[in-house]
Amino acid sequence: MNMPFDALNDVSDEALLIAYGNGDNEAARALTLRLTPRTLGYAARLLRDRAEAEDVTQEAMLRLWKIAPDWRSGEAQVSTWLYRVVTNLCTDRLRKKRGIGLDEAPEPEDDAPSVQAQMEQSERVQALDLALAQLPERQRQAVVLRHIEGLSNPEIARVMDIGVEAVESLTARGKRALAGLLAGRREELGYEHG
Amino acid sequence: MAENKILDDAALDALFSEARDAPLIPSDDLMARIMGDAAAHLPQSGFEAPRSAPRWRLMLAAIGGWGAATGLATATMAGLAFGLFLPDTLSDLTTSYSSAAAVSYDLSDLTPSFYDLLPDES
Repeated sequence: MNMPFDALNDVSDEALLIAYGNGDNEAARALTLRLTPRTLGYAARLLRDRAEAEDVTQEAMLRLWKIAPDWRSGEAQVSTWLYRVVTNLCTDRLRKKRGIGLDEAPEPEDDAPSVQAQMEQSERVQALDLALAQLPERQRQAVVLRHIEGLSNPEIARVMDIGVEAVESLTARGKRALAGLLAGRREELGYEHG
Repeated sequence: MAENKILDDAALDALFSEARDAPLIPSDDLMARIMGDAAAHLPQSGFEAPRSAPRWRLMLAAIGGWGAATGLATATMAGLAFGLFLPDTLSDLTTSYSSAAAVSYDLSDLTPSFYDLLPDES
């Protein structure tokens, strides 16, 4: 039996996924509305390309639908699982695009085509995204997950498949690098006299 | 000065907060594609009841199929024919062989008497 859509706002992601796994399409609709914006936002910040981010988001959600019948309750958070899938999909795409190992990959240039122009965001957020794009990939993932997506360090550790100490190190270094990159734009950002 | 070389934590946190509050809006096309995938992969709910066969087919199967049904119909017609026509025919046949048998049989002639089944009182 399908649950009324209005009644789904307070239902957890996991309960919705299990309901979908039991044949409730309304649960899928609620999950799509709830998870797609943040999944797309995260993918766009990693890929810096909206069309590719949409493809990754669709692929990640497709994997979610496929795993629903076999989802083991309490084993993982749906959002954490999804972030992990998106992280891996984005890493694969970036690796293919570069054609070389991640460690050897150059960081994007400041004037490289970016998603910001398509994001209809404020200039301040655009400046932040440009600076994020200049971070090494793992630092960028950790900083975005911690400070924009709001995940805890243990959650990020599960997403990135690393230890909590490594997450702390990545976020600290990433944040420090961001502060340095954005320092030159203090006036632009409205902090010159702040 | 060091303050001019980097952005302080408060300013950076304010930027992060602004980014959190300005999520990307997915296009209608993307939402439709995702929901289309969900509908296409929607698992079947519970156990699907087997489609029931027509009642006449179930009854036919219960008695053993078409062959058994044909036999049953033949036996039924034969029984009906015996019931309707045999008493006269039987009498005609028996009287043609023996005049002593020129009597009609009654049902009571063919079944044992109830009193024959009682134990002797002596």
